[in-house]
Amino acid sequence: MIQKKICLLGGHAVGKTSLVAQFVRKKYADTYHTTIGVKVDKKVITAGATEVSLMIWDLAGEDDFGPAEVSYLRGASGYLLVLDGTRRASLERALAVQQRAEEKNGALPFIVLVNKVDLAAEWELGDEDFSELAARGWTLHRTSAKTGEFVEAAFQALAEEMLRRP
Amino acid sequence: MTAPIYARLLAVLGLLLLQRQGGRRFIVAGATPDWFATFFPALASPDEAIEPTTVFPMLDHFLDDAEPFWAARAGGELRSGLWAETAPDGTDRHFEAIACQVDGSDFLLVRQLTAGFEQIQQVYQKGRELSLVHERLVAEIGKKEILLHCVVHDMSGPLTSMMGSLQIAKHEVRSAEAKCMLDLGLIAAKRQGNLIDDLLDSFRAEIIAPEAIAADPATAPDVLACAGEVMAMLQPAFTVRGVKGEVVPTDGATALRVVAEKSRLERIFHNLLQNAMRHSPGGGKVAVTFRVEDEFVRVAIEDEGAGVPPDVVPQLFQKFVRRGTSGGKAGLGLFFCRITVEQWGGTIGCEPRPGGGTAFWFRLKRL
Repeated sequence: MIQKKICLLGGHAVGKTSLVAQFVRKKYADTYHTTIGVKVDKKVITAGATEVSLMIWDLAGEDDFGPAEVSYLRGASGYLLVLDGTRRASLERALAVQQRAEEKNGALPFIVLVNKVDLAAEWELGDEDFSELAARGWTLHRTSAKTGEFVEAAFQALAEEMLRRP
Repeated sequence: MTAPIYARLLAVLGLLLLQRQGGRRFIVAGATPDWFATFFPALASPDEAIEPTTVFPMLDHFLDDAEPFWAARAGGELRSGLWAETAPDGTDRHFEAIACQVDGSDFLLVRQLTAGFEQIQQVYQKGRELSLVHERLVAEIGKKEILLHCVVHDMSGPLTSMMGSLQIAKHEVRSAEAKCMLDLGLIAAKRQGNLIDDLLDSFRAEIIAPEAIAADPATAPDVLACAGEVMAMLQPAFTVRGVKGEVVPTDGATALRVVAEKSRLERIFHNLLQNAMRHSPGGGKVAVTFRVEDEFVRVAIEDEGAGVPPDVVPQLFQKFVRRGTSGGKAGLGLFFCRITVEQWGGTIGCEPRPGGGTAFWFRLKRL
């Protein structure tokens, strides 16, 4: 078994902690509970023929209180960049965090998760935004921490992407 | 006896004191706090070395920073930042680690945060919830502005037809009384048209990204000519009110080209001149004056009215703020003027006119 560290980055209240809770514990809470600092969870998955122990670092979201602490990416093999489809401001936050993460830690594999697809009717972000992100060569998935839609697959996709890298 | 008391005191305060043995192995120095057994239940003997990174992965990250800190032997302390761990009972516990040195030995203190931390968390929680509410309100206001724009835009079509019909009817009727009634209808329709223009212009100025204004002297508008044209257009209204309107060129200048866009510059003059006219007494005068100030042109529209109440001045150029009760406007004209002038890199303001009345002024870059 190999161990890989991954981080969840993005603005505040986009659902990073809920995605981890859904992935690791199959649980979802409807109330918003803000993350302070960082929380580390573990889950073993199988990617191809390889057992991977994922160390999942859920970082406090970037907001007006301060920037996301991208130094926690040190030693990480990849990250999930999380947006809230219902809030345009989360896209701007995510772009700022991604830029800082890359400046500080170099280019790591990452996947963009546009979360809260269960609220798709209320989304402020649309195809035009997603096309712009895709044009940067970024991989996007729509997820719902609430229903679990594409959550497991997203972590799996990142693990497989990390294993493909030397 | 002293050392064990201090060691127990640390434990009572929720602090785990670890002394570094080498690498990432530590021994517990003194007593252990209550939370220790929850996370390190397998410790056989108090003297047994432990690797806290196996239980707290966050410490792996922190020790990458702590090791060079200890090696430097520069004194002081190094803090990890806060992190959370899930206890076996499913509750989240929050911790912080501190690296320091005493008498050449390396120490790691791990502290569980309790009462004080809950207050910090409440502040963050409340702050972030308020931030979400603020985001939602801004988005909601934006949607309503767009809806308002659509409604106002749709109002302008029928109004144009109505004005056309009134014009035709005016030529068809013979009765002087009926012509007078149709004139009144036309005036009211024109007022409503101006209001619609103000609303649409304000929306355009605020919501739509400002367009690049070409700083080409050949195509830039002449602020002198623009003022003259608008004054000529408003002359009948000035006459009806018994107010004299005049444009006063400065230093014999025949043209003053500025960074602006002609149709919107005309609307600024239109708004400011109408504003001055509405607040002028019968027999009063409204004058447009110009002054070259270095690379700017300062234009002032001066009236002889009662002046602007000092408490209104700071908000005068905000949306939906009205100068007074005269005229029944929506409080968007001055807002539009400010937004537009600022988009062109200019400034706008108002001040008392020497001798009474008010001078509204704006400065635009000269070409």
